[in-house]
Amino acid sequence: MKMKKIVFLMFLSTFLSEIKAQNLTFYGVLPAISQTGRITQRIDYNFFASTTIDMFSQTVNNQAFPARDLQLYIQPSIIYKFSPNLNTSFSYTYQRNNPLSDDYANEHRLWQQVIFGHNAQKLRFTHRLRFEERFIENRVTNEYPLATRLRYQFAANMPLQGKTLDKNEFYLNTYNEFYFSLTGIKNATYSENWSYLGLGYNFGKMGRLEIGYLLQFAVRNMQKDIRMFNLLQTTWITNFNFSLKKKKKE
Amino acid sequence: MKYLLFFILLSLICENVFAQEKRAKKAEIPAKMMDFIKKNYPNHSKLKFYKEIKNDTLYFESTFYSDKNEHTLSFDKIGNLEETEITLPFEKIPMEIKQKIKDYLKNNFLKFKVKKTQEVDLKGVLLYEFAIKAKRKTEKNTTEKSIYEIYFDRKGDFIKIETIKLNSIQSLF
Repeated sequence: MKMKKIVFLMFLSTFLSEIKAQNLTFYGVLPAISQTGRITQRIDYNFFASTTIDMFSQTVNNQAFPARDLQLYIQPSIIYKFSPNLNTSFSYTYQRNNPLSDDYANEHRLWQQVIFGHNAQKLRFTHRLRFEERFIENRVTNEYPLATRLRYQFAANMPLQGKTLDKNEFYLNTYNEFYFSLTGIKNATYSENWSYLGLGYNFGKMGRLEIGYLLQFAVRNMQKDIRMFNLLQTTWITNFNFSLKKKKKE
Repeated sequence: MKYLLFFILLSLICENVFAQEKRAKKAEIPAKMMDFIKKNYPNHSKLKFYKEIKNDTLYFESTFYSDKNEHTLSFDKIGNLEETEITLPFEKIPMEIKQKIKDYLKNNFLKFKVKKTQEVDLKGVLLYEFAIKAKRKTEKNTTEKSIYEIYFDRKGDFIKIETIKLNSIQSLF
């Protein structure tokens, strides 16, 4: 009799947790642009902008999730090049969640990062460590409380034709990024994880076009429910200078 | 005339930067080129082949290690040797020439560090090529930190300097 009760309680708790768990899965697209240019021999700028669009409406546990633009992201940054293998950057970034809806929320973000690169055979590995100070709008209180976050990205890039990436050639790009929420309002310390695999093509002066699959995991509430976002990311990457100085010769 | 020849030949070296280089299969490599490598570098290891088109002309390149040094050899499409580059430690340059080169670097840079030294043989024109990380004064009296490629002849006389373009490391988001 006792055994029966235990089995029943185990079954009930599993059943209830199934009802209670609200893991969400979305499918969408993420168009992005990235332009890098030279300011001085040592300093570059980068302008990155993207938007994240949920393509399909769905209802989960009577809650509607309409297809809509979920995020606008504008990220200008300044890069200081210590060497070909060590750069540092800082940025003011603006993010607007649900930008076209009434329930929008703004975020102003400052961040600083170091990025280290090294080669192994044809592969180019990069390690990126970024510290963010986030000011996320609370629409109820009209306040922007500070939250900090640390991100670590490990990436690999590989030309598919030859040992260097030249014009009219393909390449692969992949990365995994770990997000750790440190202070401020947070659902978990290890709060997000992004994994990406992209195929790119170098058009030369016109830049590079990269199409890839980005999987974003995020802990979406204190119950540790997960939001999983499957995204088709397309990025147009350009790298040109307004004063075209390729090499200084003497 | 001598310097003109140097500059013409050096410009050929520099074209490598913009050339389109791809891995080549062993079957594509001219027999003459293979014979040359086997005959002159019998103890080679980590042999790799590349092909590239410069000014509409096909060239083959091989990289390998021999006597603990990295070698890069360029050949034309029928296997005639065009250029050899041998990476060696800066200390291995003869004392007198090394001192002359050091004097040039000391006089022209506030700080410098030699990152790579190569002996170049470009169809009989013998050169040293150095990649250095350095800081120097510019004409505007400001300082410039960069990576430079400097060429000297085998007597240690300065030939040419180029500032290497420093690209930022690409990453998304």
